[in-house]
Parts: sequence; structure tokens; C-alpha cells
Amino acid sequence: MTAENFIIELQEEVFMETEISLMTLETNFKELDEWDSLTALSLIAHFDMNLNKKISGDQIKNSVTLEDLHNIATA
Amino acid sequence: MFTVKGVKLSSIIGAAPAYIEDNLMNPIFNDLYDAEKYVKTVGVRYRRIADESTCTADLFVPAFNKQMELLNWDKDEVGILIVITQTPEYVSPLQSIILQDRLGLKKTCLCLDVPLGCSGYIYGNFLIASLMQSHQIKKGVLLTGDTLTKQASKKDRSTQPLFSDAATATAFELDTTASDMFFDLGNDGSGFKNIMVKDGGYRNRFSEESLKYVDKGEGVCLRGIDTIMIGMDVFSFAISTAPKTVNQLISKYNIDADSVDYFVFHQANMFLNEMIRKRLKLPVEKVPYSLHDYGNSASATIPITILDKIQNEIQEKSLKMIFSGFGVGLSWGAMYIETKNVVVCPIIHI
Repeated sequence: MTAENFIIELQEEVFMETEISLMTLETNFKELDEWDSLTALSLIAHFDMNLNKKISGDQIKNSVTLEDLHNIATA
Repeated sequence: MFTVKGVKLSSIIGAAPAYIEDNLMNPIFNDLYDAEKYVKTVGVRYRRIADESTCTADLFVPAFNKQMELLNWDKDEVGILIVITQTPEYVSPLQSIILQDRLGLKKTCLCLDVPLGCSGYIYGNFLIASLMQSHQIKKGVLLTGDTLTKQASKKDRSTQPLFSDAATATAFELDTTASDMFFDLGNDGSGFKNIMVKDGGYRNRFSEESLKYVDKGEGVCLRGIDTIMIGMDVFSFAISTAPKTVNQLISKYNIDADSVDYFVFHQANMFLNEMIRKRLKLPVEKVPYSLHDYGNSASATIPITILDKIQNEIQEKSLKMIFSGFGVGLSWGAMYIETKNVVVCPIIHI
């Protein structure tokens, strides 16, 4: 999956209230206004249901940028 | 996968503390907006809380006594009592044995404890029905429930606003005309640290240290005697495992999913349960919730949801139902049951 598609889907499924222009590979997603414990759960669900990947709580804790998430999604 | 034949579920009775706390007034939240968001997404507004002197056993007793009265059963007829709880009165001996005397059951009544949590109702149905079928025990009672609020740290946002107290009694009897019950059960001990109470067993003996609060960050501050819940990992486990166990049950036993009247899930939290419902493509009207008024009370949530939301129907009609529970262990299960005129009454508030 390309990084661009990954971010588009992430915006559609997880960061629904965040402007896509604020989301680049370098974005620190935990600094987005929308980020909270429920967004984290949505992220887990998105990985599980749409990307068919498991992302653990520790992996989310250790991730900083959207690129980190993309790397997990494409690993 | 297991099948049990010739056992009928005759009655479900529930009891919960009369004392209620409202999450909109819960000081654990930063402000009203924070509290409202929690109620909307997690689904729990009110929690039933037992006082310090009330144990789960004290809720089981009135539920059981009411059940015997409504069924018009002689207590001597009860040949098996299974108690599923994580909050017994004592570490030893078994809660079920203490209750044998307190409930006035005969000394030959088979008494067993199973310390399961959120999957407990499924395992409880399986165990009691299987033993009754195998050994032709005519009548039996399954008690499930917890005073889970005693295991939640007052300073833990992941458990304190979620946990609630309740206890239930489910009665079974041999009946050759009863429909078969089907079960899909599983467990994964590799996830045991995801929901656990660390201290008080023999790996970490209870000590002064067990009473000290430790700040784990992100609104979680707890003691060794409190439940620790790694929310994200539990969520990840449940969104994949719960739909899977239900689908396995349906496919293995060729169940016509459209003909199932209700799918009653363990009440984990609304956000998670709705994901499970959507993943299984189940219509809203077939998936009842009791989270708003009764919170998460571990192995009591499935029968409490039935009593809270479909009490009249289960009493007056024949229903095809699938139940599914998932949680601490990690442990999970799903079961199919056809009920007919189950004896119920409104949840007793004590």
C-alpha cells in the first residue's frame, strides 16, 4: 500500500475530523487534536479489519509519526 | 465444539445493588464534557455498587431464593451448584460449598467454583448442562456474577467508570424435549497479563506493597490488589476473537443466523461491542445492551442484559439465541440455545 493511500484511508476511518492536509508521513499523530484513547482503539480496529494487520498497544505507544504506522502496516 | 442434549434452561433471575452512581457526576472525569463523551462512547451511565460489607454471595442468595420460589422447586431437588465468580467471600474454601449450607441445599449437591470472568456465563452453561446430561442430574443451578467494583482502583479511568456489580441465578433441568445446546470455547494464556489482578495469589503474596498506588500514566493509578487492564490489547483481542467464535459456532452447526432472534454479548463496552456487531453484520434490534444502566459486571452481563431488555419475550415466547463472552484469561466462548417460556422476574435491587 502506498503511503498516500494509507493516509487517505487513515483519515477516512480513524482521523475523520482531521483535515487531510494536516496529515503527512512526518505528522506526529499524537499531537493531532483528535488523538485520544478512543482514536487509538479506532486505529487498532482499522488495522485489524481493513488492513488485516495486528497492531499492539506497545507498537502504538512506540510510534510517533504516521510513517511509523505505515511501516507497521506494510511490514 | 461441543453439543449438549436434553437439558432445558428453566429460569434466569438477577440481583444488583440498589445503590447507583452516575458517571456524569463521576469525579474521575476532567469535566462534564469528558464524562458525557465517556457515557456516549463506552455506553455506561449508571453503575450499581455493593457496599463494603456486601459480597457477591450476598447477591446470589436472594436471586437463588427467588428462583426456587418462582419455579416452585424443593431445594433438595438441586443436584448441582456451579458458582462462577472472581470475587468470592474467601480465598478458601469454595464459594459454592459455603453457599450449599447457606442456601439450604442437600449435602450431596455437587458444588463447584469456576473463577472465570467475562466468558464465564458461556463456560457455566456448558459445564452445568454437560454434567447434568452425563450423570442425569435432574436439576441444577448456575450462579454467575461479581462485585467487580471492589477490584477497580478508584484512580483508574479504564476500570472505575466501567465496572458494576451484579449476580444471577440460572436454573436448568433435564428435559428430553429440550433443543440441543451448541458451544464453541477457547482460551489463550499468552494474554494472561492483559487483564489481571497481580497480588494476592502465591506468585505475588499479599503484602503492604499491594496497597500502594502506582501511577501507570494515562489516567491509570492502581494497587497490586486492583484489576489491571491493558485496554488496547484487550480491545484488539476482542474485536477479532468475538466475531470469530460466533462465526465458528454458526458454521460448525449450520445455524441459520437469520433465524436467531437475539445475539446477547458480554457487555464489555459500547464502542467495542458495536464493532463486533458491525463485523458480524447483525441488525441493531437483535443485539440488546444493558451497559447504560448496569455497566460491566463480568459473568453476569449476559443474563442481566436478557432480564433488562428482553425479559417479557424470553418469558412468553420460544427464542433462538446466541450468547458470546470474552475477556480475562484470555478466555472466550459462544453458545447457541433455544429457550421456551423461561421463568424470570424484574432484576432484584438490594
